Amino acid sequence: MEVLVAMIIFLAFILPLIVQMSASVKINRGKDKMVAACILEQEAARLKMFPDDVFYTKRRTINGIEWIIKAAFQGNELKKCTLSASAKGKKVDQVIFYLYEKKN
Amino acid sequence: MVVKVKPPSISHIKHQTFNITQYLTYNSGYTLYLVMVILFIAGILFTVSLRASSVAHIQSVRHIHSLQAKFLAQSGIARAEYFLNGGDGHDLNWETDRLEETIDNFGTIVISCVPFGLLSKINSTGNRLNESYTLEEIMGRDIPRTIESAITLTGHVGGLVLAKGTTIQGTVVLHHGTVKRGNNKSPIPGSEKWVKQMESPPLPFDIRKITDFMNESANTIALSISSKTALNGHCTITGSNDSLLTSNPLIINGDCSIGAVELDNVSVIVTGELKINKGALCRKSSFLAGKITIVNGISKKSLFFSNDVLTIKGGVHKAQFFSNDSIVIEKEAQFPGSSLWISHRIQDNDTTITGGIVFSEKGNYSGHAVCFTDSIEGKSEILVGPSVALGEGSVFNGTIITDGDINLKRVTVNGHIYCRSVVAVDNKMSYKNWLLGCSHAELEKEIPFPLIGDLPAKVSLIE
Repeated sequence: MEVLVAMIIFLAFILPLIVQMSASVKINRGKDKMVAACILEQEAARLKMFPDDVFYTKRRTINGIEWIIKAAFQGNELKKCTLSASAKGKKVDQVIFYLYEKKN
Repeated sequence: MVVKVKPPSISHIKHQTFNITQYLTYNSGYTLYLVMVILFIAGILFTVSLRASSVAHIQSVRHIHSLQAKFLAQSGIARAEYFLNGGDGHDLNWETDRLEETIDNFGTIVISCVPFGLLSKINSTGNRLNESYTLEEIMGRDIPRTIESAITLTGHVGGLVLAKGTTIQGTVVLHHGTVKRGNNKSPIPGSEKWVKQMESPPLPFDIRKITDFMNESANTIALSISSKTALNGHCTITGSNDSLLTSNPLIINGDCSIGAVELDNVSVIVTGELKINKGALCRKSSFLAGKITIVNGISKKSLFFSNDVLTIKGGVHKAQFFSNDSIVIEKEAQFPGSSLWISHRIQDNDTTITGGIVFSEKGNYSGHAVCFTDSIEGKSEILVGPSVALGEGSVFNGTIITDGDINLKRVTVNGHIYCRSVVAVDNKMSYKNWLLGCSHAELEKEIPFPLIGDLPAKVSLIE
């Protein structure tokens, strides 16, 4: 009987702890996604403003985490750009957009 | 087995020493209650934290999907720019009701591009999983190369005279003759560097697109008289919730007065007179009417076509104005950004030509004015006055293009003038091809031009 009660009390304490841990993992993942979104938005805006300032791989450190931004281009006048952001060896997210370089 | 023990009464406690350890040890039901309470609290914590974490996670995922959809929608605009600039064999007249493009396994772009006056209205929707983002933009082009000179005089009327105080920045194109200063007989020294002598067409571009649009608009008004959905009589729209606004297009057989109301993306056809009053806000809307009087109000990226005189008395406007008669702009009207004024001069009877654009004095105008005349070749009995009149003390940023004459003196023009000749009356003396106290400079900021003229073009969004 006492063992059962002890187990229940133990579980009652441990369960929220586990949930909190899983939540913090999820929040961290969400946080990574938000950071990735911001990085991708910035880099895309930079590419649109300065289409000649093309890069293929870029490294940025944000809050002590190193982010790798990769860019791939397809096409000539109307370029299809794929920008992806990776952290801790994992690709977090990407954006695809067209970049139109106006004729002179 | 749970043994129920009666708790000691108050009077019992008073008379005996109560041992709490002994009480808890032999009363195990209490532990069960305690465990249940803890479990209940843990359950609440569990649910709350689970909910909070999943909401945060969903929000961040939705945010990035929404961002991806926004990029796809912007890509649709880039695709439209590419096509309008001549990409893949298209041209400035490219239009589509629906063009769907799938981007790998990432998402889709749905584009529609329809003419909106002399500009194009582009609607682009980016779809990424469950998120979609829509952009609607109006597009124009850069100023065609045929109008790049500061002043082009197409008439066979000799040179140009710059009166005292007149300055010009840029090239002057004349049919023949030179540019002189005041009553000097010799040309301005060094002027051969910035004066070109060449034959220029009456208008620097093909006007078929303009005439087609204006004829189509006039026909739409004429046909709306027999429309089954038309409302007969005088209508007044004073509130955004007005039931009249539920029909699009709103056709009125009679006059219409628009008060303090917000009109977004609506189309209004009025066979009589349309009045826009104070408090009206028209966005991306089109108004076709027999006659238009804009008393006040704000118009943004809108379109006004009038078969008769179009009068702009006041208000703040960034729109396209078309008239098969005159466009009269009074000095209270403001035109920040870019506007378009197009007047079609038509032969009214054997001796009269109607139409023209009149900019009142001391105004500040930003945009492009085009005035063209029906062919009157071989009709020497018709006397034609100036097509465009720019009031004294005005500042005009943009281009003034006409196959007729321009009346101007003591004005500032930043941009380009393309006309047959310049006329002015000063101290009861009339002058032809004299610039009296005018200041001309290059356009500082490019103002989107209608989608007419030759390629190559740089198509861009109108802010």
